[in-house]
Amino acid sequence: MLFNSSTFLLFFALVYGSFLLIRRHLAARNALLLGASLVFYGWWDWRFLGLLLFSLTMDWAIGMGLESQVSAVKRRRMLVLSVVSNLGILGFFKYFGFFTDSFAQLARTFGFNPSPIDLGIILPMGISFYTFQSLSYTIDVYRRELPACRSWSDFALFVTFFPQLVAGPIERATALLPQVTSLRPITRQGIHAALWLVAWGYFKKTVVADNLSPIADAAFDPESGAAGLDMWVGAIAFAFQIYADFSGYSDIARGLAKLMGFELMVNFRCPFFAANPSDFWRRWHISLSTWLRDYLYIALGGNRLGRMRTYANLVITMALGGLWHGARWNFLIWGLFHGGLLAFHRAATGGRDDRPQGRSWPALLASIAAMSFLTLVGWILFRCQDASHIADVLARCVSGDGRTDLAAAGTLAWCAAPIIAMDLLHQATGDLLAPRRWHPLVQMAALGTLLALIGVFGVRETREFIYFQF
Amino acid sequence: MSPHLTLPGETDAPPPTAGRLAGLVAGALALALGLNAALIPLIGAWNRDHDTRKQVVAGKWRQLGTGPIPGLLITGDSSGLHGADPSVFAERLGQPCYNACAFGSLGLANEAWLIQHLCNAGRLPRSVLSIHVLDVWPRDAGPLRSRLSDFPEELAPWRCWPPLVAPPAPDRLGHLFPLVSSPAQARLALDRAVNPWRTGPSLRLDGFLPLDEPDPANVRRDLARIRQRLAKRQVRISDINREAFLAIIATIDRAGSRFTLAEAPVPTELAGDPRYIQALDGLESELAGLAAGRAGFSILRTGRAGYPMQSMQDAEHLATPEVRHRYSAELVEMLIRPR
Repeated sequence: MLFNSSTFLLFFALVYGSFLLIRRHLAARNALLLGASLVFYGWWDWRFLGLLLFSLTMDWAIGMGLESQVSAVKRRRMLVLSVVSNLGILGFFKYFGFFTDSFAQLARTFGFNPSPIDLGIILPMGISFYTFQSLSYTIDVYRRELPACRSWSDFALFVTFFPQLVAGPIERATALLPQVTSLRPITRQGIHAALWLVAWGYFKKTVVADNLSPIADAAFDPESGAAGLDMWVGAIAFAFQIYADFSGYSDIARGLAKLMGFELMVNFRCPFFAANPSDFWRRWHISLSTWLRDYLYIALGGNRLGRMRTYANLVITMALGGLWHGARWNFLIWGLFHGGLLAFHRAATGGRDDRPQGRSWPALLASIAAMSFLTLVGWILFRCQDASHIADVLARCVSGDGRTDLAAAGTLAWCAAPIIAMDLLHQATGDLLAPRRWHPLVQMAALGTLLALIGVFGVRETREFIYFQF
Repeated sequence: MSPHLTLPGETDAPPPTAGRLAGLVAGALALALGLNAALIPLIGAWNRDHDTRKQVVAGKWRQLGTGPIPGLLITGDSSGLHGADPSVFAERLGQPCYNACAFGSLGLANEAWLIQHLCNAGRLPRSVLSIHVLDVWPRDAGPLRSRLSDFPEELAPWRCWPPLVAPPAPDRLGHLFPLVSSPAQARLALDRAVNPWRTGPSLRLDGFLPLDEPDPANVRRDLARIRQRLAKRQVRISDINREAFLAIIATIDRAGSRFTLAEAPVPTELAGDPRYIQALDGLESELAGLAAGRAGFSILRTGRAGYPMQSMQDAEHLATPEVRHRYSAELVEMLIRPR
């Protein structure tokens, strides 16, 4: 079920209406939300509910075992079981085809001709998100940073909570489980914030991302022959599309959660204003970047094992982060590219506090411009299908006759303008919900205009969120 | 003070009162409704002055009702609108031709009504050539209903075929809520103001609307879709298209004119596909059966060689001058060849 479908709007109206009636009864509230979450997930393909339930039940049971077990060796084995089975399931569904294809390709270069293995595997929606969320729980319990959750249904709701089940934010058990196990009031501040988050999120998805999608698709289409400025317009359109699409989803998810009294983590903090690579990862897909930092980078030794090992850890972490997005070489290349940027930046700054402060304005703006360009190159790697596609697109970027499709450039300009303006406001005020502070009449006008713009310019054909494929 | 970029977060804001919160929601909805109301006249004005869709339907009806009667009238869907160039026909036939093709969503209803209308006015040309893609024949009245407003309001031709095309109540209410019912039209009306670089296709005086943006990738996607559909089910003629076809045949018979059906241009890959050929043969024999005994009806069997996908915008629309000329020339030669 997609947030931008009429089915979801009806679903949420029914769930929220029932929720308001029973919100003061914890068990009933959780039962309703768990049932709704399973319906939400099963609506896409009910057969994968079994996999989701198996995966979460296993982690719940391992969590209980980790809590009661005192033997360090046995606890470690339990953790290994959780990691191996979670990543095994993820690996099978997500990477089986990639590895068999790559192996077959390698074998062919040595003159062998292995018969293709095609199991017709369908990637379960949101598997990367809920696997990481569930896995972080067992690691936290193993580290004794969190007591095990005794109630299966509470744990199941923590993993399947429908606003964030299929595309995040990837919540930590330390933050979300306590909200599941206690009653939280629905506050007027929460509703006020939710109104903005939901309206702005839908605007970003249906108006900005879905209108930019055809421009980016056309430019990256190998058959299109787009070159020079047209290719750059397509690449910039994709940069805005993926930001509006993914942050739009996160905003809607967070807004819906707030309407029910839940707080989900902030996933984006104006990434276009990043002034260096580490600053970018503090602003982009924060729930994944902090997950990778806490559970992978630090586990690899972080920066504790010397300079070269730190650089290697950064590159390995980002390469695996790239592969998290999907089993394609371009994601690995994108991850390596960002890992390389982080390592280079760390070498250049010596690991000092590198927050973009205390410089002159021109230097700061130049850093932002340089980082924006590097991020854009990264998005080109991300959007392509494979290495040869990357080579083709990069070659097309530096060719062309300097002319461009003005209609596409115009659409890009009017789609990007509100995103830049709003993020400029967020950055300048330091508040991601700055419009709440406007005069009530201005807020009313802005919300009404957003609704009208969604009505007129929002793409009605329900298009999947980009991150659903991951 | 030195410049700094701190990471923005969600800061606490003073809680609004319940009344203020309710006022915010109600006020925003009221404003959206107000903007909705403002769109109604804006869309009306834009439709009248700029909408190619309206020009293709209502504009052509009006033009055929007043101008000189052409020797050949070309009717059908957008494959003909963008593919059959009347100037090529006119040059070979030595008489004016007019392209009255519109869109596939209108099925055969548009031309049936148009032919009836012209016949009643004594303005029906001696020869009518109709071009439709295979995909149009099974379409029922649903898509047509949403486009009834494209027809000239004073004629309202659908009134003669109730209940097949009676406009449903939501459509009649729809024009009051363009924000919900006609976002595309609202967008087109506003788009010109927001995006002045965008230019729409321009309709020629002979009713032809050339396309010039080949898109082979799109053709490939379309081909996959069409093949999937052909594999799934047989092509059947929908009730409304059957009624329209019978009405055309009867009218043509009454007026003593000629009505010729021609195949739409398709990519080479589809033209040679056995499933496509089988579906086309089946359709043509069914139509011949329906028209049995009518002397003025015939079907043109083109060479079915197809067109290269590099010269098409999708699997139904030609998009370069060369292929348009080739298709039109092929049709006119077959049309004048003795049968």
